[in-house]
Amino acid sequence: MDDRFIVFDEKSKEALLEIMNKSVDPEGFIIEKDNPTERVLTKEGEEIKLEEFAGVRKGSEVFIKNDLNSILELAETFE
Amino acid sequence: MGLKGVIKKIIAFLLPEESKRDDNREYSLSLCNENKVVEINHITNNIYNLNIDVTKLKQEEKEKLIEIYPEIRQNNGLILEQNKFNIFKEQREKNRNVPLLKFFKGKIKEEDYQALRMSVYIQRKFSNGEDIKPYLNDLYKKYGQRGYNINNLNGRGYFESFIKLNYTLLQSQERENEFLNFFDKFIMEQPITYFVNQMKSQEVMNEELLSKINKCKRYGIRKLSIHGMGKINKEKIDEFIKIIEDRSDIKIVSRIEIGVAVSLILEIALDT
Repeated sequence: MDDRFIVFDEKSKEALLEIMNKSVDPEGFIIEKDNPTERVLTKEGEEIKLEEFAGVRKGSEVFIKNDLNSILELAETFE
Repeated sequence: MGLKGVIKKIIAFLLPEESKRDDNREYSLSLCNENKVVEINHITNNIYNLNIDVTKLKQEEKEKLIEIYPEIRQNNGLILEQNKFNIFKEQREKNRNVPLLKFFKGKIKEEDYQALRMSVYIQRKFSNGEDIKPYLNDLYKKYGQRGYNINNLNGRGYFESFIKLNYTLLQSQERENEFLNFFDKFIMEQPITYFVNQMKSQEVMNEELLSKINKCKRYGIRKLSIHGMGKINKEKIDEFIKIIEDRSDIKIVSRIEIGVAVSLILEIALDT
């Protein structure tokens, strides 16, 4: 596997986000742990729920949703 | 520090006995829920995977992990859910340079391009005999009927032949600016095609098709292709044949059945 990639599974999502200093608000959206009113955004500007979270790519912090289009877009544009 | 260096540091911290090993092992890193907090698995040759079950890490271990690998917070690569990683990897290896996608990139609206890209993926899954329902749901959820139409048309080769050809023709006449208008109508109104939908009754389908045939006549369209997938849709097409077979203004050019797919090509006599 390319050494830039790290994979995780569904069960590890929350623990990984915690390591990344994120948390989940009562409505299920991923938020900044240090600033709970701030929900993280995808590059399309969409807020993202824990169940939709598929990963993070390089950049400042680019959150990726788990729908097919987001993954195909990532495959096309990831350098 | 690259991920390789980081992994060796993590091993030194979490599995000190392993780090004494003096060999040429190459490691990848995963963060999956397993029986052990940390585990090294042999993949192939000198390739190994270090898995850390982050759900089982103690607070001080998490802090140490962040200390060793602060980039996990900024991320200098890609952290991706395992199942999605497989799609990502497959797409990069097999679909990234599909000529059809390269051709239409920038020529159609971005949302239509995205739907087409999903369709290329779905069609490949379909030809491999895999279950495509979840992907079709995803397509419909994001792009609605337009996305479905794009997928249907792509599945029957209309992008590769008719639509691409039309663009090339318009381009040769320096009329590319008309393409988007043509494309929009072709996708939404589907003037020369009809895709049988399992959710529509035989009566509704008959009505829609007869109305479409009338429209073809009105606009001078001589050929209509009807496509269906699966046993139920095949039966609906055959029922429709019974309605039109005696009509003198409609000629059945062909009925082609390949596997679960049926195509009926009609030639329509125009009103004089």
